Amino acid sequence: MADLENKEDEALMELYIKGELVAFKELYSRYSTRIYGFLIRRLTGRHRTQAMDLFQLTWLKLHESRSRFDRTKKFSAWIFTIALNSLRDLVGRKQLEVESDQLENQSSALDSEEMMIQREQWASLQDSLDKISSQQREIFLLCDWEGFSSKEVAEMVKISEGNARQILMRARKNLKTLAEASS
Amino acid sequence: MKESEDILSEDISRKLERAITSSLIREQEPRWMRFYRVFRFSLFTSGILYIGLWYCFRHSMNHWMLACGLWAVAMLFGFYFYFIPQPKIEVKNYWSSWIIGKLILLATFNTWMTLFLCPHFVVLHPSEKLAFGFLNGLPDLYMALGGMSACMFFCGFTFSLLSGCLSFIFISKTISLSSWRSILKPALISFSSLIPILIIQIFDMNLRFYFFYWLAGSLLGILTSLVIVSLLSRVFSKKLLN
Repeated sequence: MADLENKEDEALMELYIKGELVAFKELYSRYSTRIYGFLIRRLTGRHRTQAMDLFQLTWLKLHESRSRFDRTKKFSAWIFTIALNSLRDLVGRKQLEVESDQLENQSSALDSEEMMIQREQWASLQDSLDKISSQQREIFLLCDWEGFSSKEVAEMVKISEGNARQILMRARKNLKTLAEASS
Repeated sequence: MKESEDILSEDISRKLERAITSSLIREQEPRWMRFYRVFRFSLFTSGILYIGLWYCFRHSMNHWMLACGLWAVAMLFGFYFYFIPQPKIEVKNYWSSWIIGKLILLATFNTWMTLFLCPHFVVLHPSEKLAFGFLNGLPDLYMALGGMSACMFFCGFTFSLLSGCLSFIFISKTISLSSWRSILKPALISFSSLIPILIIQIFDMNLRFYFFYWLAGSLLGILTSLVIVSLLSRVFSKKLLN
């Protein structure tokens, strides 16, 4: 068991594909709270109650498609891609887009104001996240919260790398503005 | 945001982990054992159905032979899907083969039950051996509404509604009305158990002119039951959350 703790995610996934129970348990303990945390931060309003369903759906889909895991890619990127796809399937692409458009309009008004964020304002980030657009929130969480590179995120959400970087910059700017406004 | 929503429920998390690990354990089982189990269960349930139908409709058993055969095949498929090693857990809109198998078995079983509930159902000359006659007045009521066509439509509707509700209630956590695909899937699986009855109607000289009414009523009944179960599960899950 101690040996498994030192293993990388991809090596654990190889063992899980072969049917190793302990490898699955180790992966589950590493990612369960992280995935749930991402989903709860990613969803807003009435959709937030669906986080638990989405969490379960992510793991079930991962289990179902584990033989298709691409060994050359990172496990973390793969599980987050499954979570994002489950999110779009359950909540619905259209609903997410509508929510995104509405929030985009609200936050664009704040774009013009030039304000700086301070480190202590990170505590209020949670509230600010609810106020930026759906796509900005998603990319911000994946890059700045989960630590994925903009190239990995671009692959996950199926957009160009340049576009992902642009959305990330806009998200950071909006969050700074919102944090400053709330303080 | 509610604080309870923030934290991953330990109970659900453990249940999910257990479901996946037990699926991994079952995957180690030899395949022949699974097939043997499927065969044994199918034979047993189809045998019970055949004996029941033979007892009730022995004078017109020709009609029922084909239906019995088709239901036996449905049972075989149902048990096959049910016993495929997989996490046995219900999640909204997740149609695992376990859930599909469960629905096939439930729908087939409930369709048999409706046959025994109404003696006039499908056959024009009811069996004298049937003990449950408490719905005897129903065909008369429906006939008064608009003759044979109305009777077929409302019979299809009533019994499919009943059978649908009894089937969907057991998989209510999975059912979602979010998209057409999520509605059509359970409706079609449930409807497949009615195909043998449709075949009997087409073969029957007196019923073949009216089978379309029964088909329309049945489809409507299944869809209505889907909506009822979905609404009920939404109300109850909200109550539980509060």
